[in-house]
Amino acid sequence: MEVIVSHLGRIEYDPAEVIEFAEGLYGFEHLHRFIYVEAQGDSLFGFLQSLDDAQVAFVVAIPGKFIPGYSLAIFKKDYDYLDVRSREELLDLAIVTVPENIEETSANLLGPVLINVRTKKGRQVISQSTEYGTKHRILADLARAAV
Amino acid sequence: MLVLARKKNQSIVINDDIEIFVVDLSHDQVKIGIKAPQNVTIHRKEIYESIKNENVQAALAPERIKGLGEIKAVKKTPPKDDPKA
Repeated sequence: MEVIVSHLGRIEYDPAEVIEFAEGLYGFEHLHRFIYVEAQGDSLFGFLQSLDDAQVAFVVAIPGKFIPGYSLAIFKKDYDYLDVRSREELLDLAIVTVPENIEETSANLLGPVLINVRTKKGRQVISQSTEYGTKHRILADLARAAV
Repeated sequence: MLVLARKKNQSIVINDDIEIFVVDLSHDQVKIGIKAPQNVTIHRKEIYESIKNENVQAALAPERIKGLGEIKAVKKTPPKDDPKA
């Protein structure tokens, strides 16, 4: 096991679990290695922690689990890039922005983060659908999902 | 940056397999047509910019971690202002 100490605390991880983002994330093109950490006691949230820069971590959520009617719409070339052979291999996440006013918490559904859990390759893509934007408010849906 | 003058219906070829057409012109807008292989990614630049800006805002500042606890507290009771809840 290896260890990274970040704002999230001390995280132990198996090097085999490292996710390679060859292109980084938009605005963070220089960061290539991340780990996905599920939030304790909460199946809807997790964190993407950069291993290249401990200061950089994102809150992520699995939109399919709590946004009614949500379905991932991505281009075939992105599936091909990630060598996704079945839907089960694909973890699709949305980066969550937690602003000062918690009520405005939003998920970026226009730029989903995809991870092939088999190959541990990741890529942030641009959704094929313009139905959702970068600031999709999620608090109401989260509250409903928890009831 | 390479700058080329083109008229309506003229085009530019990039890399043998990408062709960019000037489809139509009006006083402050150009309609552009693009022929490219399936694996080429084409988006309006604003889309990239908006996703990039959102990522920068989302990058977790230490003081926001506390906010996550508040979200969990909200999740236990539906927000009052939500008519559907």
